[in-house]
Amino acid sequence: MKPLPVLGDRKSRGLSTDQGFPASGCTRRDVIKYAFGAFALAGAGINVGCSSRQGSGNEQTADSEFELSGRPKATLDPDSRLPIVWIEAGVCTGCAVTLLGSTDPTIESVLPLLRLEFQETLMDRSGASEMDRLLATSSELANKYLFVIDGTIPAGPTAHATTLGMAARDYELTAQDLVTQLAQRAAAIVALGTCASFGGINAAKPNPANHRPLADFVPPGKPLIRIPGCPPHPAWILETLTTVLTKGLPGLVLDELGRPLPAFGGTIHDVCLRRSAYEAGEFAESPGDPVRCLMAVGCKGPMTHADCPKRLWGGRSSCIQANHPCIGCAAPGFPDAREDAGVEGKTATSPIYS
Amino acid sequence: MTNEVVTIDPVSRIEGHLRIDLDIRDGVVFQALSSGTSFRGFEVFLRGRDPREAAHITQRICGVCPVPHARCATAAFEQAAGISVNNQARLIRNLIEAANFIDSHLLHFYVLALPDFVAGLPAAGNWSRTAAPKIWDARGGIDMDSLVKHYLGHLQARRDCLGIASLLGGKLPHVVGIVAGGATASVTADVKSTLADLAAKVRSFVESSYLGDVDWLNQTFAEYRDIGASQCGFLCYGGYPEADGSKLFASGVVSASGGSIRALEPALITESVARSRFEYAAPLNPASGQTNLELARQDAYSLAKAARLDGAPMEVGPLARAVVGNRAPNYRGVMARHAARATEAGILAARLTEWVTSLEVGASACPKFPMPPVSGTGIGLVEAPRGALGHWLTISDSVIDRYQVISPTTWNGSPRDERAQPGPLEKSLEGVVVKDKDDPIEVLRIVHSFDPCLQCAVH
Repeated sequence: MKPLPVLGDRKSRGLSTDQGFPASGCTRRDVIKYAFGAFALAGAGINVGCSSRQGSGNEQTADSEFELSGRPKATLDPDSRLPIVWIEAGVCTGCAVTLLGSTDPTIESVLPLLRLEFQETLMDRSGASEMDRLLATSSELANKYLFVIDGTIPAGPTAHATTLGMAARDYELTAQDLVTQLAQRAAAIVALGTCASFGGINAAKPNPANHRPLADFVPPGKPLIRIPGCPPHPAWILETLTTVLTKGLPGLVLDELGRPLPAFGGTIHDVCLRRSAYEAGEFAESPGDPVRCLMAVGCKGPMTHADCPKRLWGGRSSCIQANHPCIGCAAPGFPDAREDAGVEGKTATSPIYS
Repeated sequence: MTNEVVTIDPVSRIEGHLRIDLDIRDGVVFQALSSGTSFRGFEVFLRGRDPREAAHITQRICGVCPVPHARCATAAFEQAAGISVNNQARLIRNLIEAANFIDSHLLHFYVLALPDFVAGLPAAGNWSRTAAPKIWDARGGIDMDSLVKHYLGHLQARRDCLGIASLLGGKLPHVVGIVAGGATASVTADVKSTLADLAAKVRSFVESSYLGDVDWLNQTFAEYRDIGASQCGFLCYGGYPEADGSKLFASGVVSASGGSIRALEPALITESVARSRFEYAAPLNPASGQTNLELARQDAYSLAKAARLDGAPMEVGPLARAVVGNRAPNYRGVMARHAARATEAGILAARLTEWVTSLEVGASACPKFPMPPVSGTGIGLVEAPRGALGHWLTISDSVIDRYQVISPTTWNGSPRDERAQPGPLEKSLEGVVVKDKDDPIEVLRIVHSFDPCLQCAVH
């Protein structure tokens, strides 16, 4: 075998935070004005517990004041936005993709309300300087930001199975390092998706890299909100974020696992459109049956807390409406029952079809 | 001579976690290393499960391009079980997959790639820009208001794609409606009419906005037509079955030295772990592949394996499909990838309507849901938005005994192999002039043109 090419000492170099666009002298206020003006171009309006004066043109909307519910006539200045640090750990990126596809509310109507300090899939800049900026920002905003994590975190001897970037001076940050630090400084923590909430697919047995859910890294006493789902429905996420924004953390009503109500208050089975077939004992013999109850082919609806049949995916459908049994992707035990999965996890288990 | 090592980690605006190390000599990239930095272990935890579950589990490899994994897993299962699917299933699968392709291509262009050329776009600029959108180097040729309008319009076009995928697959990401033996959706007259409406809207956006925006970028940054060529061969497994058994995207291989299009020989595919952080073994065909994590290896740098065809690195993706399909531009760099991606989005958008029209109201797309065979082997070879995707399945005692995945970025983003050959992304960075080593935008433009999907590459 030929030797590995020599790249010096592979020392990390910080990248500049300036990509070469000279600052134009705009203020933060102008940035927000621009953002709203741009969104108005697409005909979008703020409709998430907020209302705006309808503007027909760019300028008019840009100058609107927004009435945030619970905060009458508040001006949406940059610092009233909800500060969010979002780390994607061991992920599939489905949580970010589902959010970008939000139909009600539209993502473009909510984005201006959020101050995303770090989101790797969306942010424009790359490199160690971004990690340094993230760490500095998390100190400045200590106990003020919402820490959002999707994915799982390999722990212990396999921590290097997921590294997220370089901090200055050649320090390679594992997901475990970064999540632990950022969790300590957060005001509250949101586990996005079934992986961060409960381990999910990444922690499936035998879990060779020891991927762990977020709860393992949350300091005692720090509020933990779980929004499971593989991926979560975007409205579950945005309703949670906008509730925190408008009413603060006390505005959230959570169940004993930290899941927001009403989205996770009942089970899929409670609101299933085929409930009458179930009551009548009409059971499908295979997936693909357009009418009968799918319980006999493995439906996990009774063990899965979520409201997909009411909520609708893409505003149009859900798994059972596509004639497939619920696979329990929002349940703590997905895809394997685990000892720490809670009561639900002991029943909503693989295999999918039995 | 000045000689510096520059590390870019994280590389943002991609799927997953990628690290790039550059050896820059006198302002020119001498060599580059591409590292996947997040391992989960799908090939390990698929073992022992019902092989029909692979369609659901492997989608969770990637939330950006889940549908091709479902399709690939069912193809491998169906080959192992010796079954075929009916025409209605073919149409439904093509529609869900095309919706996912177009959605992925739009996301890539507007959200992941465009900020390398235009600063201050809404999603990115919302928190870190201090000015309204500006084109790099103050280049022009486009009305900025209309570009921003298209940027926002792509969000609606993606929602229309998600609508198609949800109606036929339940939800996206991670559809449930593509199953072993076919597809589960039943198409009513109402659904068909809604699908036709959504297909027309998607096509309208692609043709009236996306194609023009990519063309503008291609004209405005014409130097990137040649910059970033991988100098590798091109590989396409073939995708989107037609009614006559042919494929909309033909399969084939073109060597690095050019020449004619050759037939694909899957037996020549191997994965090397020479520089990958797994227990060392000689390159293996994935039908007998292994996945034994060894993080401590000092002579390895990536968590991705290195896919090779007959020992050679191959570029896969929209440009490879265009080259093998004889419709590629006569350049092979960054803009060739963007142009090929847009062109095929146009091809697929046009076919959506035709496939919707062919759907039969009330027909079953899965007349008989199959049981797993006691034993068997199957290979699924499909095209994903980012290129050739393969699943290799072995069933024993009716459960999965071996499962190996080679995703597009396992080809494009591969590390070096036993012969120290760089992967296509690594090779494409060699010789690139970097004006500011603290801000290597030229490198990011090339990296992003591949639309890297690292969680797929490593899985």
